[in-house]
Amino acid sequence: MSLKSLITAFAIFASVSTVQAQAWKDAYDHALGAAKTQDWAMARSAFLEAVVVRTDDQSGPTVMPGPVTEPVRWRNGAPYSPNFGAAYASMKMAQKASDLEKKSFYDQAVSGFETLIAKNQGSSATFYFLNEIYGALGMPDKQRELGSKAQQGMAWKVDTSFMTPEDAAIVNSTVGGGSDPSNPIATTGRGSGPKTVAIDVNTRKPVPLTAIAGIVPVVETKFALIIGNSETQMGSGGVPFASSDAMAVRDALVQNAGYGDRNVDVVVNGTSDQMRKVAKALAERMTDNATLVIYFSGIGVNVDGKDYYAGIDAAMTSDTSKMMAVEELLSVFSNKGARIFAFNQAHRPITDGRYFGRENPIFGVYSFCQATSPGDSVFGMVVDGKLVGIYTKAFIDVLANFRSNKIPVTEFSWAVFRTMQGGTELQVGIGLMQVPSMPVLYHMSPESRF
Amino acid sequence: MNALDAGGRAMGIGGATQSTDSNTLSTYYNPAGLAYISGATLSVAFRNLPQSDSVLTGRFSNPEFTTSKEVGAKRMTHLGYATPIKGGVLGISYTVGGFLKDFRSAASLTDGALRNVNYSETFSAQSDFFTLAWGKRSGNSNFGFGLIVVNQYFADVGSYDIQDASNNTIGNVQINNSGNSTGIGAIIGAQFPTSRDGKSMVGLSLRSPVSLKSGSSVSNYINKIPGRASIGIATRSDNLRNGTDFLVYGAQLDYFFGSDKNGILKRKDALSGGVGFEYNMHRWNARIPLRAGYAVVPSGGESFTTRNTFTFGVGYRPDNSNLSMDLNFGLPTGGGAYDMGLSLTYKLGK
Repeated sequence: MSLKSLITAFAIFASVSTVQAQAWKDAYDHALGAAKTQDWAMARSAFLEAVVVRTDDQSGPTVMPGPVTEPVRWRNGAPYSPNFGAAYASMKMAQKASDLEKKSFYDQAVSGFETLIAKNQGSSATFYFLNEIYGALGMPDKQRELGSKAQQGMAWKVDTSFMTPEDAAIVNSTVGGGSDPSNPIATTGRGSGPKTVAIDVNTRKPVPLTAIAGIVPVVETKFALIIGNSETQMGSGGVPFASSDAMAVRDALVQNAGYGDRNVDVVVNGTSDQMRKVAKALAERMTDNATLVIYFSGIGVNVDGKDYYAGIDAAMTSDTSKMMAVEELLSVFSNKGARIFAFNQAHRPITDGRYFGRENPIFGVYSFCQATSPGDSVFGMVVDGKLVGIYTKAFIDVLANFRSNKIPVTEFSWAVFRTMQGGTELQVGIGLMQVPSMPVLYHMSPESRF
Repeated sequence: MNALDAGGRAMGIGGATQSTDSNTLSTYYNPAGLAYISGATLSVAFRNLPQSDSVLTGRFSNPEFTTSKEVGAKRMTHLGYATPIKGGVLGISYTVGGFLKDFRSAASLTDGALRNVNYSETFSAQSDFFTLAWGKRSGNSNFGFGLIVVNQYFADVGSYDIQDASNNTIGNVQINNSGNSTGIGAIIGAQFPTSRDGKSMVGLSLRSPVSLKSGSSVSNYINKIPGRASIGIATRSDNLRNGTDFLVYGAQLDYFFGSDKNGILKRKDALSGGVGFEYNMHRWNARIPLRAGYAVVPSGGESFTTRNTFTFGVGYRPDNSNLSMDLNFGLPTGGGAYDMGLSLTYKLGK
């Protein structure tokens, strides 16, 4: 064969070679663009378009065609998550939809997330969002079931680049690393155990921890009110470990969170009047615009849509005269401009569709975290021969892990969730019994710190 | 002479990835490799050039050679630029594809009843390839072609005295032949993945022999630049050391054909090749390739010697930097001077 005919044959071969379209990539990019403008319907549609061409999500990087001598990774090694993205887009559509359409979109999202978990592609983000949707749909049984599945592992990684900054902040703040390898949270060792270095979710720069050992330096504008009511006159619903938990939480806040000893008031087995008096006394001592942690362990009830902390003198769940309304307690501090971070370890039985934590206070700047899901109870565990609340144990352990006087509330709550569910970081891991909530925020950013 | 490695990354891998790599040297080795260049890229390579020093003894018409290899001059051997243009990648390069410099001397050589004394002669040759090439992706494969203009420089400069049997100098000969000759050739190439994940690839390229213009002073020495057919295979192992490192290993064969059979520097068709590997580690915020290989370059004819070489080198590609470099060495296993090449690559824009 002459050289001329060889060249001719080569040219023909080159020109008729099939072009393998990278349509999934274009569709995915389109979805990212739509998500950026929060056009979630378009984003979902484009994600599903990508799924048609490339069916399954991929946790690891996608190696693109390139020279054999140099691996080329699609989007710097980001996971490929169109199925997750479609479900996430449905969830965002639900959050913006009217009440009539909301359930339909949530169902789409639930279906997408559940399918991923069934395929062992459940990331921490998948579990988190699904748990939130179950909560929104009032499906506590599903939340419990999800808790057990979460124990099977959440190692799968998803692309977080299309999430809203708020959601990405939560997902990427998971202790032990975020879902997106290009947007991680650093973890380092503290002694022989793990330590988390908080990352500012806006700047992505580490937030300096204020102490390495000993007591975390005190911030004088931080205060705490801790209530532990293990005694009760009610026949049921008591939290027997509440008072000892209160003392443990106090120690943890002082030791590991920058709360001055004098700035932390503890009410153990207090009546409603005692709670009220201590709260007012603390509010008077507080500086304006302070940060306040309220840790309540005991009986909480919802009566006629209002939440109450029960005093030990309350004998019936309907007797609000022996209780302190949550709104009343909050207003004592809100009047001084306090930013309030409340953590409640209370049973949450559902009665006539109502449960503790259902009330949405209108005024003030708050964050509410619940130790368990609506309809569920709080449980204790024996540690060193003592009964400790599972939530309290996780709360204390995660505080010790953070060791900072600027603890980001969503990051912290997610760490507590992970600790209770998986138990991989801090050895609690009894999430099958109890699923805590993420913070419900009022006029407060997810990046807020306490 | 035309198996000179112009430098660059593959030099440290025994030349094993010349036809499977993707850089501006692809214009010279395999234009299909251009197809993977994603942004405008400028590269320059320098190396020391081979040089030899021969002492002649015996008869002038058929002397005995005792040759020692030396480190020659350090020169730029490649300057290339490639940039994506709609539908493909265009590359243009200057590459030194062949080089020879041999200094010959003799105190006395018999020539019948006469003797030639104080003999010295220097042969210098350099093949400069100017290539305009185009590479394009087509599905999972790449194709490329290029137009080559070769400038062949040759110089033969020397002198000797002629003495009779009584040691009387009866004449002096001055040699001074030098000049340039050009020719045009072409190169085509392809790269095919041999695995679905694209981690293994075959590269093929074919360069035509280049006939030089006749009638110049070069013609008596070199009439033709040999063609080259190359086949190479390279494979990559990813996810080493927690996913940060990867390993590339490959082999390549080059067959030089259509050689000049008539000139003073006539050559025979020859098969050369190389094998090698490159471990790419990621440390200190940079990609650092460490490489080693072995290149087999047999004698290209009676005027040439075998030059098998153990090669090794290191690269440095800082994260978030457009500039990268490669430093490579070659140690001939038969002794003699080392090779050293330095190349710099700059990616323009992001």
